Amino acid sequence: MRVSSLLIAVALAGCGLSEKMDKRSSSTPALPGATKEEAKATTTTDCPSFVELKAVAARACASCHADAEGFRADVLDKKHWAPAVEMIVAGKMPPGAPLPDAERARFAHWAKIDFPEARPATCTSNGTAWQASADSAVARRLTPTEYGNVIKDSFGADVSDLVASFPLEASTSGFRNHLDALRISDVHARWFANAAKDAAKRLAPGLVNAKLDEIGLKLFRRPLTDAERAAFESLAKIARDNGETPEGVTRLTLQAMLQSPPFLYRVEAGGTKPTAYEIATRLSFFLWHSAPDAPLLAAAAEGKIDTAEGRKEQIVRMLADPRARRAFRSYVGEWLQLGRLAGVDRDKTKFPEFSPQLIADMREETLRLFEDAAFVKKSDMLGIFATKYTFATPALARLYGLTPGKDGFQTYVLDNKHRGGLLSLSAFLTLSSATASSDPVARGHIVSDRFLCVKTKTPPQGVALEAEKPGNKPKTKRERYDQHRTDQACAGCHRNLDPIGFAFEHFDTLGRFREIDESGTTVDPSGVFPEGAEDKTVKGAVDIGKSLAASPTVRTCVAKRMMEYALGYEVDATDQELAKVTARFEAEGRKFEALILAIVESRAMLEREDDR
Amino acid sequence: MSRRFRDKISRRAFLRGSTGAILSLPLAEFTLGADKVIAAPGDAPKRLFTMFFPNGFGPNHCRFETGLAPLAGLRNKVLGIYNLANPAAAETQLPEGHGSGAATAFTGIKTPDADPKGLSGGPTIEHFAASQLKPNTLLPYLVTGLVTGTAHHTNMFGVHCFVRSWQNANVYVAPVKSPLDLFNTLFGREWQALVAASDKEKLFEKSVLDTVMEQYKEMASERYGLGAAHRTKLNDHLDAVRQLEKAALATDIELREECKVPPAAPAGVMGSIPYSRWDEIYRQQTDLLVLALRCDMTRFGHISFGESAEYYQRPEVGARSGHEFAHDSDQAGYTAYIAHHMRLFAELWTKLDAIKEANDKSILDNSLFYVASELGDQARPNHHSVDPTAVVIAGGAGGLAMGRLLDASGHTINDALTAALRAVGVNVNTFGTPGHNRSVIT
Repeated sequence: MRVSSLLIAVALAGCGLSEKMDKRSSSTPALPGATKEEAKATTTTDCPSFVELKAVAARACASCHADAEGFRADVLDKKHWAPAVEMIVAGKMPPGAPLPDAERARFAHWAKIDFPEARPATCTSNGTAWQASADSAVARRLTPTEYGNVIKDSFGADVSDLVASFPLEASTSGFRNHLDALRISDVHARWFANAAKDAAKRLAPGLVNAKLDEIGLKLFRRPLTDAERAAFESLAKIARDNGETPEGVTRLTLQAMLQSPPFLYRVEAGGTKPTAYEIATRLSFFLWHSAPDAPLLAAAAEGKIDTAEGRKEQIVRMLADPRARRAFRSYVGEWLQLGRLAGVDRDKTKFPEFSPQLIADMREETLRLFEDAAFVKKSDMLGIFATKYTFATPALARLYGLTPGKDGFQTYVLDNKHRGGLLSLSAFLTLSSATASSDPVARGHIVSDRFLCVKTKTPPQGVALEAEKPGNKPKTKRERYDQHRTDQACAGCHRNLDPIGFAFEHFDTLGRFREIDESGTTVDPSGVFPEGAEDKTVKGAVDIGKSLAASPTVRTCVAKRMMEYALGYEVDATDQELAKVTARFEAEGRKFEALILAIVESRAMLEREDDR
Repeated sequence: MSRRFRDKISRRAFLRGSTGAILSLPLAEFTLGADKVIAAPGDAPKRLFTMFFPNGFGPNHCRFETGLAPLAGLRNKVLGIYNLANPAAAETQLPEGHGSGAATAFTGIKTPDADPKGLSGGPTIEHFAASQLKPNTLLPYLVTGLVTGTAHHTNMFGVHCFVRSWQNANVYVAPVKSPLDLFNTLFGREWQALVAASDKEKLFEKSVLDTVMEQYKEMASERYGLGAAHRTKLNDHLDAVRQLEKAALATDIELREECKVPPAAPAGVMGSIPYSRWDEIYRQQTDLLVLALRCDMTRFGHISFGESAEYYQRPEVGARSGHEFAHDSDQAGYTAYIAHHMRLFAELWTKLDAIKEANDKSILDNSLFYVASELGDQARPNHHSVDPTAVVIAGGAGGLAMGRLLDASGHTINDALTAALRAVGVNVNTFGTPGHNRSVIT
């Protein structure tokens, strides 16, 4: 964690803006859609200062904020300016008359570099928030999923039983492959050592006659260095000299290789650009969550992936491979937090439909919808939010009030009145609910975080809801949640979250349709979908699904999340490369393959941070 | 950082007394082969374990008339310290107290402000002590306990709720939860293989790990070109491999041979973790811990009895969850909830107090258990207040005067954490954020 990013996070902890304050922000904070002139303008003011921005504030803010609620637009007071910038960047200030994109970008970048009064002396073309550093050369540990995939794909051995015992890990921004989440403790190291022993036992019989260099290329994703070759040959000699059998020698060599940093870590060790092998590795871990195969390594060796044409050839080949679908399903699972379904439990007396199999069906239903859009129909990815059909089992069909068909997954047409779109399906509705009650806050939060890319801060300390106070029991669910939006401590976030969540109130904690909610009140599914600076009134899940499918914010967020997964770190919402990726995604019908190609061809993928 | 062998204590020195008799079934079936007293002069190892229970513990309950009532029989072996402030939690950018309290209770340092939220600014004391004292045990530390959170559990705001044992800043160690997993961690294949390893196998193991370590050294070197954070990561890995090698090659296997355990867990050791049987699971976990301490398999660790803000209902206490009691006006229920935890802790400590070591003191006397929660007393209007809080120390490891309830007004949890470290032989004057330390508690 860099000091600069810590400072930024301190300054900007809060709804929304911290999302934009990523440590790996791009050099120029032009907003998506900025004109060339605007982009140029922002380039020339890469490190805006308060002195520069005060003129804008005087024009746009001072008439209302002379001293309102302690905030003066002409005084540099970070405590008040941090939330103010958040509102400005979101287009919510000035009310009804948001600043031009270029000015909003300048405010965003000013916040990013910690609200300097004057232009910082160290200001570079990259701003002070991101400075090229040696940290650009990284060692990224394999995730347990990647570990299992690599061994299976490279040698055909199934080690899923080992992977299942991997120590518990955190995720960052919802993804487990993020650089900050991939730590190493003694417990992890012990697991890797033991797994290496077990995996080596399984692999050795089939590799007795394999050459060390061949194994090395597969495991290290590049040719062995002379020193590495010498070290493993030396180990093999010790084993041979002490009477080990050829299989035993292979086993010990593999045991060492499987614990070695070039295997367990994706090491990129400097230089101005990633090597061809490093690019190949980036591509394969992005598209397959696994190691490069022989053709990709050959393309790297022959310099073919140095060109866009060569890369495209490989990507088209890789996307047609079953490994791409496997990886995509894994990605969708993390993006949509489907793992949370594993912990779902329901009272069987109230939910007789509930069973572990039903939960598994829900998960599979979601994955099939995404797989269908990405690989089969190759259609608009955002169309899933407004899908009029789904792939369901008879049990799910019954849950949806549909006539069950044949066993297994079949296509079912949804009524598209109450139920239509991804978020009207049971996986989202279930994982976003408490055990006994649907939770509009959780539903709104997931939509906001995963599909709008807006972050929400944690509830404040010392909050006691009015509902908890004796003698003050609200009657309906809406009345109870309304307090979130009237209490100043809560309103900042809940005014955005709750109205999204209430649009799904026609569905209970298992995704069953209902007219009456837990409090005995007739459901009112009206809600609000925030689109940029505007709030759009919606009514029900189908309606909000259509809004999501048509939303430029969602489009950018879909691209952003995929890009983050590809890169393994958060991407600044104002990143120019993200803007380019999003533009291509949009121009090519918002199709999966277009998004993949756009990300692969981005500078973020092909260059090192310190090139930028 | 190397892990030099500093342990001058004969492993056999503390193999005294019988364990089986004090353990619950099914673990009482363990023979350990050490019912006989193995007399040997010497000292005994000092141990440090942190223990966590959720939803708050403060001055109102740090009394033998209230929350500590179940500890009356161990009165002379415990030290209650109350009215402690937790400034690290207050300055942490996790405004909701459950997150900030949990992330700081054993670190005394504010959490980083960036994502993922709720991480740690530094190591917890048990890990810090392990890194300083570097015992040559099979496991550098042991983290167990029960939490309802799932593998990657965060609350809806992305705050990590359950991780409370940190090897270092942001490097957390999740608990081994099921007793069966714990058995396998302690006495499973690794243990069995170590005990049975031939000289040739040891040579091969050493050669493999030497080869691996050379590569970590090379890649962690500045000339290789990785950034500082990544070099640190590889160095941490190198350190862990080095420790593995030491454990694999330890020549003093007498104790391991004495600590005979079955090749597999006895029937009845639970492989699942139904929360309705929480107390039973805890008893099996702590029975295994007793065995592990007796066999000197580890000296440092953490036991979580729930994640912060845990909502799980304790059937032994009533129909409501501890979280609800804490938020409620039901102070009697809240007190019963705290006392229930103390009763369970007392069970463990009593078992450890029954095993004498070579210095004629019990394992409990030679150990220090540091119990804390994430908040202070939770009575209105103190919702989610992180202080004043309280901690209970049991055993004391010969470094603290036990048998007291200490009003520590003016002190911080940093002072209490420092006192715990000093008691087990870590020579520090502050712990956590230096500015948060007031003066050492003795």
